[in-house]
Amino acid sequence: MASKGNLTLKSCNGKEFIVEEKVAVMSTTIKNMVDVDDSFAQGVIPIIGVDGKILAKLIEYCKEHAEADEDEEVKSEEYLKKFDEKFVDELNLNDLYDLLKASNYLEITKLLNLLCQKVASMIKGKKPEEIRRIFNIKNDFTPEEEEEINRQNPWAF
Amino acid sequence: MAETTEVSQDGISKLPQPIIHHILSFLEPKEEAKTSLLSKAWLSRWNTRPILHFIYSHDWGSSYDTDIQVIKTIHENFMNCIDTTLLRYHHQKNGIDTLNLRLYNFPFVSPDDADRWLQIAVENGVKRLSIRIYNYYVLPQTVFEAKSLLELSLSKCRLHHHLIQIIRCRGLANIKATKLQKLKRFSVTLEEISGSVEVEAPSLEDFNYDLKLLQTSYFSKLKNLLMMLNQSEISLGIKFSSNLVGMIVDEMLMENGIIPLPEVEELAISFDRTDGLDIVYLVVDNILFACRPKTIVLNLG
Repeated sequence: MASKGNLTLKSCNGKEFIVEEKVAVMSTTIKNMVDVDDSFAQGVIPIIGVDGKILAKLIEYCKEHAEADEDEEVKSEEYLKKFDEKFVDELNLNDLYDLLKASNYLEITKLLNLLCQKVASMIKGKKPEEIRRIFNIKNDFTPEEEEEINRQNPWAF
Repeated sequence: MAETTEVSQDGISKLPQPIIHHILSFLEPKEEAKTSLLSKAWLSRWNTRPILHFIYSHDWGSSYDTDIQVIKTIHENFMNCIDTTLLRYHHQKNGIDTLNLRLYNFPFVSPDDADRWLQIAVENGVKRLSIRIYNYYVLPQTVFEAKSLLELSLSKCRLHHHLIQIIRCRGLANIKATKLQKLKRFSVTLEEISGSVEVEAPSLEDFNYDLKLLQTSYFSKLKNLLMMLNQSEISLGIKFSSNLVGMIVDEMLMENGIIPLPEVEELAISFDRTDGLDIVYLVVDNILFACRPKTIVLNLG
């Protein structure tokens, strides 16, 4: 495996990205592929189920964090925090879901945590009807069923 | 959040279950429970969540204003909720990652119920266990024999014969035992531990610790401490006696020749192996330097 080389990642819709290996291996899934099979390090790594737009976003995130891991002087913790905030704030809901799925599949733990925290912060302190409106969740309970859930979890509400 | 595109469909509910569970783990227990009201899909995700919190902390104060019957019903409902939830996990064999069972201002819980809950948690592979039930509950040995356990936090628990014995917990990383007023003996036999051991037991007299490394502990009345340090080449047992007030041994510090031990009245050191004596001498030197005992008993095996 070419330890200091670049890797080529290919999205499900055929877009290719050449990235530094240290950036790509922020993904545990890719790291395992490269570690196990040398041919991945030379050739093209297909990223199943992730389109070009989302893959570009993932790479943008991994690049910032890989560089920060390498040199703390250049990118301080504060800088990264600001970057993370901006990164999640600029996402629309569909991109947020796609990134969640992709970071889960590719095992980019830092990003997965960041995105899950973002969703949690959107749920926090809101009434069920507000949460449903934000995420466009359809309430498929009957009033009786809703009453029953309230009754079963007396400590929670 | 940039609302550039209209979200026409409910994408979040279609996310894989582990992602939803991960999102739930970032919410406070009450906020988390609220998501079960969103829709059937969310109820089902909540019903299989691997992190379970049962925290009762309502203080009724002088309950003259509140109808006793009302409080009683609330308590019964809470008990039923723990019971039905855990039984469901048992029947459906859903994994339990964390069980946080903390009851404050709560009346008597039948020991059979509590034992059953802990048994289910252990059977379903619990990794993190935090327990506070009530002062007279005797913790079952099952908990200490749990193979999956990584973290154990105990408070207000009573133990058989004032004794904790932890054996065979593979991968246990942290032990935290607090408010164990009557605990006299604490015994840990493990392959290795990567986290910390924190014991708050004012009556502790005997501490048996057979591990590769003891990281952090604090004792106020400890009379007897037997510690086995099984480092790669040598096996070293150190026995401290007479009111040891605190102790921190850390591999790094040991390598650097500094062990911040407080002054100890009497220090007894015994070795069961005499090979690799060079390292033994170095370690002993450092210990002596750090704790300045008045009496030293050396026992070379």
